[in-house]
Amino acid sequence: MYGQMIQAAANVMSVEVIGYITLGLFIGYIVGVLPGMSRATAIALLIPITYKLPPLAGISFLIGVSKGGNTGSALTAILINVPGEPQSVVTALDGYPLTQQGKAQKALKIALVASVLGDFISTIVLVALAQPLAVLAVGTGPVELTAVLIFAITFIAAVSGHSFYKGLIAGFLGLLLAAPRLDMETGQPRLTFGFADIYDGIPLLAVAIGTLALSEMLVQIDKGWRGSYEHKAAHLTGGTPENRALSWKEFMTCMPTILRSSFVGIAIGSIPGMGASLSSFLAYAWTRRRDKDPESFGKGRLEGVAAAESADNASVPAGLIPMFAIGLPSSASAALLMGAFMLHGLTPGPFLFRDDAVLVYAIFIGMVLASGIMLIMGIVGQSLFARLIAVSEVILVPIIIFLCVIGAYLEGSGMFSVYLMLVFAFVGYFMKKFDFSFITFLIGFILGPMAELSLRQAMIITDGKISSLANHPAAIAFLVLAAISIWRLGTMRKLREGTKVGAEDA
Amino acid sequence: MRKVDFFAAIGLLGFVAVMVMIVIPNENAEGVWHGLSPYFYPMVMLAGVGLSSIGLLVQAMTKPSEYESQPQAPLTWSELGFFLLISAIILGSVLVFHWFGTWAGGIVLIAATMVFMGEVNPLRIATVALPTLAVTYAIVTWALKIPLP
Repeated sequence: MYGQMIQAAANVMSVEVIGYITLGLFIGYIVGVLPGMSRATAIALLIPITYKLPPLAGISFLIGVSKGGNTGSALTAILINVPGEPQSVVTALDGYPLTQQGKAQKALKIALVASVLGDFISTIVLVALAQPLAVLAVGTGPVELTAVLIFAITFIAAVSGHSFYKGLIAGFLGLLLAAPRLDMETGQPRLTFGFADIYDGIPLLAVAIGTLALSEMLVQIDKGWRGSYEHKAAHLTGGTPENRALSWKEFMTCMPTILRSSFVGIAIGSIPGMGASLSSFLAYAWTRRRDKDPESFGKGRLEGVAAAESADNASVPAGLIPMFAIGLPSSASAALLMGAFMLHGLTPGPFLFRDDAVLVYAIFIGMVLASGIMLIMGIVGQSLFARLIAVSEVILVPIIIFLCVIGAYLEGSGMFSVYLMLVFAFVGYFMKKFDFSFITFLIGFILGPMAELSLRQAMIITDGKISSLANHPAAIAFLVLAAISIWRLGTMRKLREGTKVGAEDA
Repeated sequence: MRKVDFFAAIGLLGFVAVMVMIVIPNENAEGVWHGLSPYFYPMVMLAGVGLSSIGLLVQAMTKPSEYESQPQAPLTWSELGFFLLISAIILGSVLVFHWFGTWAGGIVLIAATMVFMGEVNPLRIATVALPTLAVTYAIVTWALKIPLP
């Protein structure tokens, strides 16, 4: 193992990999700052760029985008009270009042430090937990895996959106969408309607770019038509030196909050479907509740910004724990990263550690390295990134739509993928309007082939008899958990509605 | 009763019925399989969609309190009109992209969308469209070595 880690470290310490991590963080930061762009949208659009890259450089680049996007979104929340991502709503609660008091730079500094620390702690936990969990998961058979997948889909459906049934429908439709392809046993085309382009399955990027990116652009254009496409400019000049600097004392005052909130982010972020919004909301609520002066929160407390940002950023690496351990994406970004792994011929899950241990360790080392680069990039580039806030959506949205077309084209099926992407953009738009969880849909689609294989194997092993489940206690446990998700999670759904972001980032 | 969800559930049940009664029986299921039909998996998923749709239907009819925080009509006629318009613009531009290539399609797509969003200055449109196209074309064709139409 140590030999593999040394080899992994050597692989990461190349100009190419470090360069791609830095580029990913830089693009992610910009994405976080730009209005109307989300991390998942950016990852969907950038996956085609990684086709020609080695897997380590490509995956590290996309993880960089994911990390940078989360950190950058705090800027707009603090400076102009417009959250770059849904989870930054909580950051704005105290961040914007600090800006109004002339303490914007102080707020941005604590947000950056809290983000980096939350991300770093969570990455270390990911490194420590993923492999032991994967070792446990290796022992699971198809019956247990099927039960885990049933639990995951029902749980994600239960915690996303207003209606559990709509979440479940979206999940089943996503799983169903994985059916058109050559049948894995007979080799015969199944539900392909004569299109040879989908013999290997419906192209991932056509679905991902359509439902996530282009449909979101349609929503943004719609919103702007009813309001405005312009944004306030933000400048980081002015303020007294005392208001600009973050003192050591202030940092140490926030430290317990950062540590506590990071663990909230790790705990919540590692549960599929819970998302970063809930973790930042819970960390903020906990910090406020513990404080001697809870009334001062919402009026410009550094601890409020620190709690929200550390929990938010901790949930990103934590969200990769189920993906690396059992091959289960916990969010839209994780689902897309899983898709990127697959496009590079790798299957996330317990066997990845056995088959490509050096690559996994290299990705982990790259993630730790990314935390450090993120800190430097934040310190050096904050004023530059702040200027991007004023970029109008009239410029941004048409460019992104064009990139959607190019991204779909690059997947390999040419114009077929582009037309398919348009279809899924329209599907995604209506899913958003009618509150069907497109995240559950996408996760279902990505898990579909694995779900089919394990379901078939489980049916053969158990001979289709429910009584055979008695030999699989772990499967029974997950099926019971799935039943509990169906029966009782309404309360938690209301909690998510309380954060006012619903399932947008689930 | 919430009409939107009621009709959505009816539509989904209709989709399941068409798939189960028309599409799958007319599929050519040749080949040898051991125990499970190739259509076992899609049938299970369709059963899931069908059962969940029945749940949604019942909820829409019996639990109006579930929808207190949501708008009665998630899509107004003006929003639908807007959607059809922007969809036509994007689809038209993609057709230009298909028939006349990346440069023509890209310029039409970016320019038409900007005009739709309220930009009337041709200089600004050109300033956005041309560099975007040039950079994208350079990255895809030279760096990634993938030919574009």
